[in-house]
Amino acid sequence: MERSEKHMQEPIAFRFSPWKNPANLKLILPLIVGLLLTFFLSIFSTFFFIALLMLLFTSVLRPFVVHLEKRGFNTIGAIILIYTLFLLVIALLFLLIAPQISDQLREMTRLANQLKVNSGQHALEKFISFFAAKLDFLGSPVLQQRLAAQYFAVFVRFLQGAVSFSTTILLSPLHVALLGIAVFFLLKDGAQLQKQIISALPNRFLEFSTIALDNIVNTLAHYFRNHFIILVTCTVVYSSAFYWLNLPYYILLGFLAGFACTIPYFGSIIGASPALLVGLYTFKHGAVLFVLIGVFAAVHFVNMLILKQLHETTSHNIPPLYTLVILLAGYTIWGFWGLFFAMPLAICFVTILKQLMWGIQNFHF
Amino acid sequence: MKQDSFWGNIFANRSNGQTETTQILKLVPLFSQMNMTELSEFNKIVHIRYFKVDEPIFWEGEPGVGMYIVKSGSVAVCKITAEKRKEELAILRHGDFFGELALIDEGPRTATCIAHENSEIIGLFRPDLMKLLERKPRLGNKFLFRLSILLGKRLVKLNKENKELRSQLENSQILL
Repeated sequence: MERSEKHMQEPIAFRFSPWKNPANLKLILPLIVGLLLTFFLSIFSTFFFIALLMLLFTSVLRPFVVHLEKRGFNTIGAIILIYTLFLLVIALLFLLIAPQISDQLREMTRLANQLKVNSGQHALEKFISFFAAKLDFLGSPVLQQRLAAQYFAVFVRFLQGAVSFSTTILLSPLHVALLGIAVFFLLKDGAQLQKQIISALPNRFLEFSTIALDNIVNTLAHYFRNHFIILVTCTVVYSSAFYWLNLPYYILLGFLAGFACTIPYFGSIIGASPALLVGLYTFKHGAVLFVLIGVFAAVHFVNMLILKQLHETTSHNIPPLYTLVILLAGYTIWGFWGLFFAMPLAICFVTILKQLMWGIQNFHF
Repeated sequence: MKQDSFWGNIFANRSNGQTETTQILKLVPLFSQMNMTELSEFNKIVHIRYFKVDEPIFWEGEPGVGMYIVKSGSVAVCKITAEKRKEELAILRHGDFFGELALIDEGPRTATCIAHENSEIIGLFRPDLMKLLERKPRLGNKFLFRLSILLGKRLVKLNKENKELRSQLENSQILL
């Protein structure tokens, strides 16, 4: 007993010496690459978001082009046809939904300005107090007030993030044009681009780069395609449910909830937050919380049941704890929108890393 | 031919070499019955690489990714012995091809291939072939049919050799 106590008091001689064991370098390398990647991602976030959207649209359109080619269409002809149809669908959606979205955005901005200008800090405090009162089941007014204030701070940050994101990326004509052109050329010259990348590598990496690049492109295309299906399905279902419940900003909230469905484990919670807040403020009744939570639970259950296969093939076996860390990192770097983009970026990183590890183990470099 | 394989691979003049590559492909039994349009589809997916003398193309035990055709120069097919020495099994020259089994089987390579002299090699890899099969199933099937004929012929030849060896072994046992 005495001996063990003495032993416990002794400082633990821990020395980190990666150069003594080369196996440790395997851990350091991904860490350094990860840190560098995160640093550059935060600097060039707009570029990466455009690149992600470009990959998303190309992955969705590619199977249609291949299908036409299989039917005997010329490659360029198939690409032009699909691309034209894609532009038409986007234009149609823009004409049908854009006025409503802009109305809803204007309404939301008006509401925020009204809160800010007319009532000032008082209105915000009133709103936080109103929300805190609804959390009476916690039994501590201080805790309720603090939690409501935190929740509101997150919501404001989300609104700011949403506005800056849409103005810097989606509403900038330059970015939209860049995105459109990039999607067309990626569809047309994607394979040649892949070949050019391989041709720039030394001979020793020829076989590895061919198979690795193909696996990376296939995995990411599969991931983006599946998530696009989940996103569209959930957005339509949530928007319809919110419309049926007479919830204001139903398209925006439905889109956010649908977008959040692509986040593993925590998607429903993240997607539900803005809807719950808007629902509570609009109807000023605690019961609406239960109705909305019920809607989210039902959609989540049906979503998991119907789109189970899609979720399974795109989860990439990332445990919940790692998912939480990735989401927090995304939130820290890009704000609320980082929650939505952190997972796709992490999947890209994990896929590339897996291929590199496979190459190191199987090829003589 | 460019002496530096790295810069040669990056700045290779692809357009001039395309007709030349098509002609080389035509020499290979797998492509011999294809017309120019079909060959041009394969021309788009092949990789032309320059290898310096003694530069390895692939090592025994590595995962098989695709086949190679010798455009110019020569390639040595070797086995690495336990004493880490090269044991040459064959020398492949202009128009010869190797590693074709890797187009359908992901198993490890059974021999090491090294450039015997400065060589220009055409590589056709499984992922590109799979994409071609997806886009142009008729052309892909034509290629796979030719590949199966070739593998079948090789199997018949091996069976024959096996039979001859067996009979030789049986005869020698009787003699013993």
